[in-house]
Amino acid sequence: MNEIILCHGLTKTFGAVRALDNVELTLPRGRIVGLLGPNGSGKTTLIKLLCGLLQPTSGTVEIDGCAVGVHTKSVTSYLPDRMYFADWMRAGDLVDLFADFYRDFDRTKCTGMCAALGIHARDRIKTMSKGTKEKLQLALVMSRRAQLYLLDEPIAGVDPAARDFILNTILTNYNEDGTVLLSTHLISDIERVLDEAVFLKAGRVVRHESVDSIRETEGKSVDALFREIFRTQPMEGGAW
Amino acid sequence: MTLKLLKYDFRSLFKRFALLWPAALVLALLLGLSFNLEPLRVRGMLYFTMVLLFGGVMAAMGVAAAIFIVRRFNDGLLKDEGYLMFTLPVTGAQLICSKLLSAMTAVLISGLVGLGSFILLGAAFTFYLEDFFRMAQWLLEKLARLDAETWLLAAEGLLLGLVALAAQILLIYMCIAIGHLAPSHPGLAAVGAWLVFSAAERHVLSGVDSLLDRMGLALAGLFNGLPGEPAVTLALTICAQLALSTVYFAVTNYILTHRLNLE
Repeated sequence: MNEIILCHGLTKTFGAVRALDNVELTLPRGRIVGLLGPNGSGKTTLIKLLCGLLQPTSGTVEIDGCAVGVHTKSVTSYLPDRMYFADWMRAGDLVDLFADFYRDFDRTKCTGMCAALGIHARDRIKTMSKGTKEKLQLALVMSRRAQLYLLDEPIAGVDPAARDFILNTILTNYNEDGTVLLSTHLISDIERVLDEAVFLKAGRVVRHESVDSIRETEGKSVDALFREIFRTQPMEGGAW
Repeated sequence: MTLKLLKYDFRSLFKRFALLWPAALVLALLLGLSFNLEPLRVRGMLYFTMVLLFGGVMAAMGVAAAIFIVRRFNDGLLKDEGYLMFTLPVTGAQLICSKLLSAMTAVLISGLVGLGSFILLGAAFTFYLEDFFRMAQWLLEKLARLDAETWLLAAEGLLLGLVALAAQILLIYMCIAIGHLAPSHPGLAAVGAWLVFSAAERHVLSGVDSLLDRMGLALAGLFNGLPGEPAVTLALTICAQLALSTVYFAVTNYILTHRLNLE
């Protein structure tokens, strides 16, 4: 089976709000895919459904040929848009935890990455800065040889230098046989690394194409196409 | 995998109680010793301070155990930490088991430390270790002379205590999980659910007791010396608590597996 992700008729509603609407999506293995859309387009909802943190209202999700469950979680490496550490832990506890639960976790690689970042096993999570916690979380997630990496807004809210660090860490550490699904609305920063782009608008997949094909057929960059698709027209008088 | 989960839940448990448990034992010892101090005025002041401290630590231990039960489940699974726990390759049932066993351990060790503190206090107060050991020996001799039926009853009583504790913790978990389904104010919804289900549980257990009463097996008879089969009564009560625990566990597991909504 070449597909790593298979979504069929995937819909998620929160009360009256339809966050995802009948999403049909198939992603192959060994690709870096950008999940692109403005805030509130359903990127995080889709990633959470793939992780099993949310349950679909209707439709199905398959990862590596299985419904979301123990197997899919064992092959998926997830970087959420928030810190998920318990404050009583030390960096070493987290490395132990990943080594205990994920067979594909490379402890040596993680320890090396942490050492390069100045993070030591005895360091308390409670006393780390937000930036250090984010780097530790990234090191843990990218030290796995996963089939699927789900990275939710990894470069949002960080300075340009940190963005470069994060992207380089992802590119130099991911399993090349696996797929990276990376959500963002900062297209220009990630365009150079993408193989495919999925455009989400109001919970619907409005376009899914390879980046090369977009450049060939549209004659423009993914960033330019993104701006075209998601442009909001100002009303007369200056109001939006 | 459950054992691996337990490893981290126990680490969290022991880090949280690392100071409280030894503090309770040390304060009990110091309080006991303060009784023997002279002159009387110094002893009075010290005694007063130690009683306050000891009472504070004992109360803190109870409150900490209650908070531990709620927070290890609520914060550990249904808030930010849940993003890690629910992406581990484990089932919802394994997560609940791990939280349950660590919460039961917190309550049991806190209870044992509380009991141990009072024993230590008594031993330090009498200051005559010989008396203390003589009393312990007397107790052991009494226990050795108990017949098989009494041992069976004691074992059943112990098991009932454990199952009832598990049922109460699982009830709290189920109510937190039900609160998680509420579109807003999950904490309030969880408290509301707890009030409703606690009342329902009392109703069910009193129904079971009435049924046993009609069969001449009421639990009350066990303590009033009424005729009956105490071992059977205890066994049936354990079964009733087990049934409740199973229902609470199943509902919690269903919500965490099929209705999880970490927004």
